[in-house]
Amino acid sequence: MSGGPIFPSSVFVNQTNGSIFPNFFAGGPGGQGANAVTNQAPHDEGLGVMASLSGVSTFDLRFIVPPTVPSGTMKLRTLALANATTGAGVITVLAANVSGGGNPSLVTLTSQAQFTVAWTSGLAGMYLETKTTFNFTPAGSDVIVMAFQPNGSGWTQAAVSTWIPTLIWE
Amino acid sequence: MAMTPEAQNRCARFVCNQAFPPGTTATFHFGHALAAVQAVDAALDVTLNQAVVAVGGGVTVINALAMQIPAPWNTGSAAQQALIGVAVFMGRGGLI
Repeated sequence: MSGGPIFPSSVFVNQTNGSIFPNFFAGGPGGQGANAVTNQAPHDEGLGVMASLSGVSTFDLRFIVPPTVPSGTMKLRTLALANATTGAGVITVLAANVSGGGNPSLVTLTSQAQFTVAWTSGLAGMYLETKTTFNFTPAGSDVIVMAFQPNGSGWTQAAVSTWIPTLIWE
Repeated sequence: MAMTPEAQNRCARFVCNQAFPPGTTATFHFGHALAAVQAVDAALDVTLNQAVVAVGGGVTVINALAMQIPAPWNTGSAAQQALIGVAVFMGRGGLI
């Protein structure tokens, strides 16, 4: 049976220069300002990334795996939102699984698949979905330790973007 | 003398932030802004004689600069195109 989504149990903004931040996407296009045209619930909470990012910034994330691991392949499912019709965002992921009694801050994180989300005409304010697999398989009740890194190399998105990462099995 | 690549990057970020404030849709991306900044920055070092040969003597200075902006930023509003020049001058002045 497939499983998830599991949201991060812990999110830390591991950057002090303001390049990343907790954010609420305000809906759009047209979802902000005096002429807003939205439904009654236009906002989405997520990981915020500044416009025209440079350098690499890191969100420290933790995901707790259920006691019984769902069947299927564990994937990182990410939804991206931005009020833009062009531009791209690049995410680098480092991760590892840690069992109870393990040390999450000392475990060696390994590189997972890097992915790029590209906005084009008609995609402003839409959920852009990306699914990537991991190069390890966790056991039940493990904690996934993850560095979720917006990467300025190749980042051309000129609007603030909001990212919603979850774990799924399918 | 043209700005350093780092300074041009800062100018392009400034342009993007000013051109697409919250509530607006970003219709150009950072690479577009950077290309426009680089073109106008380079144009500032062209001699007037070279400029007259290139665009003709009947063109105003601001229009001559605007003509250097590459696609797709050259399809932006007049304010968005003027913003490129503003950023380049501010960058050369060390304000960005």
